[in-house]
Amino acid sequence: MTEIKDSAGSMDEASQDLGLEASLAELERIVLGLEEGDLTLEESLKAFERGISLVRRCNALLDGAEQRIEILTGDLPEDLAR
Amino acid sequence: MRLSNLWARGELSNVVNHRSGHRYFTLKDGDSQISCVLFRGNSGGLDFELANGQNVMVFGDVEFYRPQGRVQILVKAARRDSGFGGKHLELEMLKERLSAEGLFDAERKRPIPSYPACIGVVTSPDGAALRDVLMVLGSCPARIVISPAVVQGESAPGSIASAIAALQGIADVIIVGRGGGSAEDLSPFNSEVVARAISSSISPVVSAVGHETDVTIADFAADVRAPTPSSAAAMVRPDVEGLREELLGAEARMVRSLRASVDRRRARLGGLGRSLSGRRMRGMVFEERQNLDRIADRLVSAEDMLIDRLSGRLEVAEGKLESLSPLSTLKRGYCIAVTEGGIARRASDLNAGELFELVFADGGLLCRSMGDRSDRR
Repeated sequence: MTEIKDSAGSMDEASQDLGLEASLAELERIVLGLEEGDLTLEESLKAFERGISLVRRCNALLDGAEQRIEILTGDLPEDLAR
Repeated sequence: MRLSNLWARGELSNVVNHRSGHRYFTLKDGDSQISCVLFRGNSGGLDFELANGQNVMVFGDVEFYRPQGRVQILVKAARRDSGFGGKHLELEMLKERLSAEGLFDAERKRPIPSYPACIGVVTSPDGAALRDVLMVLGSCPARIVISPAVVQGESAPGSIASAIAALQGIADVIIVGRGGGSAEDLSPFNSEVVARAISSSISPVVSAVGHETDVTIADFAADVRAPTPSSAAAMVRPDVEGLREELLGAEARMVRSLRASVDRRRARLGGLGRSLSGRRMRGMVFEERQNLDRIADRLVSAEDMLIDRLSGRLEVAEGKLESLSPLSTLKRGYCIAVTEGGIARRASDLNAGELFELVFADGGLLCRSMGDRSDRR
């Protein structure tokens, strides 16, 4: 039981750190896996949940997108700094 | 003092054929240059079209152009000198050398990533090009990292090259460029050191130098050439609308697959029901089907469902499939009373004297109710 809990926990954390590109790649794998239809009902549900959480993660990344500007050397010109 | 009726020799650059019919250009040689103007009235004797890189000899007067505070030659006649100028030749040779080395090969070109997490921009932090790029990128879901560079003058090539190098391992795609300017202004992007920095970049590079008509060696070395900084930004910007559609599609596909998976299990349950036929137990199987139908219906409206609740439900349903499977229940020693109207769930479902079937795992008994046992209520 502990084991299941742990793995579920780390799955959620991974989702928080995951970038757009990585999230989309994993989502694509999940969708294909589900479409293959070789999973048990339980596995399908797990994959489905993970998939939905990735969709939400991606949507959140898109919703929360604002221009983030950094500069490698020196200061950001005044008109660009916020 | 006036310097009149003299000849000057050099290479043409910044040639502007103005609508007015006047021609403006710069005459260069080695380290020096001077502005020239050829008014329409003086261009009658011109027997060739002025073009950048051409070697020419001009005849005219040196004058001081007060509005701009500069010395220029008022050209009265011009004639071609031999061939193209040294600068131009040098550039062609460099292009040829780099091309022979394979720096511009089509196989080397890499695609721009669809969803870069970090976009690098190599340009002057004070230039209009940077503002154009940032405006087009807008609030895209990517970090934008500016790697400042000097984009004109002698130090520019080295500065641009190190700014590109500084973004390695940081940016997933790099825009390198500057806004429009004279041929001299753009010349750093014709340098070997910039071409090599671009071609050795780990991340794909989009070149964006000057205006649409300006083509530099940097453009050949880059993975993609953008006509202007703004269009470079448009190429690099993740397609957010397309992405949203893709996400909706992925969700729909998952719901469809899960539904199909539920349907397959329902079909199996149907098979189980048929194998029990004759025992009139389909009612029970039917109930399981309804259960699955309900689950399937909820899957269709996955948009607003709570995953946790759904998964809980399906897990319960799956458990029920195991424990409530008619066969396993019967094997555990329970029986089911089946009347004309279906399964009897309550004592009151049966009237005294009514016939019913008592189903065991291994067969059925025809029974008759003897009446209500009130002492067991």
